[in-house]
Amino acid sequence: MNGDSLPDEHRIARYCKPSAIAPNGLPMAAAFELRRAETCLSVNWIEYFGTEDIELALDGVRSAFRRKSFRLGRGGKFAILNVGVVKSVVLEEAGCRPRIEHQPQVDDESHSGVCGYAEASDPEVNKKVALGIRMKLTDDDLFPARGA
Amino acid sequence: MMSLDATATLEKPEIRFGEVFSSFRPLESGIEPQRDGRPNSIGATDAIYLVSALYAEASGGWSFEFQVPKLINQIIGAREHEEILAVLPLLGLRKIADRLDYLRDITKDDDPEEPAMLLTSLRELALFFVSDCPSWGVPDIGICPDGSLQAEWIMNRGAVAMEFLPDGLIRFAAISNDVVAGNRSSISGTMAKYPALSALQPFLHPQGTP
Repeated sequence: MNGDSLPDEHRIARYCKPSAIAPNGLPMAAAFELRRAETCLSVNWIEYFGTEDIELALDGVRSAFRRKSFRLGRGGKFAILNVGVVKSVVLEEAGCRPRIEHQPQVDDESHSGVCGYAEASDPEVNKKVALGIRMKLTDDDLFPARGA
Repeated sequence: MMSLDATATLEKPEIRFGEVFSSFRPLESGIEPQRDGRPNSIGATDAIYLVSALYAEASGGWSFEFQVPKLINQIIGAREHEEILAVLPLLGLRKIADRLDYLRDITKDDDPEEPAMLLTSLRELALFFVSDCPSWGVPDIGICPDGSLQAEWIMNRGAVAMEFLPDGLIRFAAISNDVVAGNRSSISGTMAKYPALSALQPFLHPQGTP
């Protein structure tokens, strides 16, 4: 339901555009930064799809992107993040407890948001949180945006 | 104090080299604003002298030294991305130029939803790598959601992200990763180049490490 908090043990997927993927294939911190007008980092809730198979869940996310006419760029990636880990990064870097909540949209029912750390529109906190998230990632957390 | 006029006539590079080299260290007390009021632009002139000196020395006095100011002025006066991208390889920055070229292509051709690369940010990044960049190795370069360019260094002992804002300032974040010593720390801020470099230096080169 709209506004429900996601459990710490669940996972979220963040689409990382090709322009924020480093030559080594890992996302850069820039992939996790909010746009100027955004208050929540857009993600998709993996467990929403009711499967343990991450590829199946990501197919659901890809379908939602297509329905919304969002382009998945060649070279783009999905980064899979643990909800509890993201919360701990935000707490450490921004000094506040974020809300990671389900924010379903008409064409994207698993859509969710990482909220509560950028209300003050502080771009420096935004950058530090993004770098903290980036430092938690490894190759194992990444999947091609366009699928196999 | 060196001239702030990037078009100034060069003196013999070998005479200026020592002075220039010492001026490259991050200034501890900041620097004076440029004539036009921009926060820190001494880097372009530094680069003219330093690169000229290096090339003159390496080439036995070849006239490349007289091309460098022209190339840097081309970056400063560029009205198109391509003008800057064409100059960087001539200044020894081929890898960075190739990466920027790739980013330019994917934002222009492959994905219209990608944020466009800001020319003003590209200019600031180019001048930084020509003149001010510390010896941290070639960074990853990407585009922030609003179109500014960002350089990132991710190493075992820490990570640094520097966004080149159109007004010449640098917005940065850094996190140390000193898990063994247990003294993890982080900073963020928006500053002129040299104060930003001074603040970031310990995150990639902690005292006592090479």
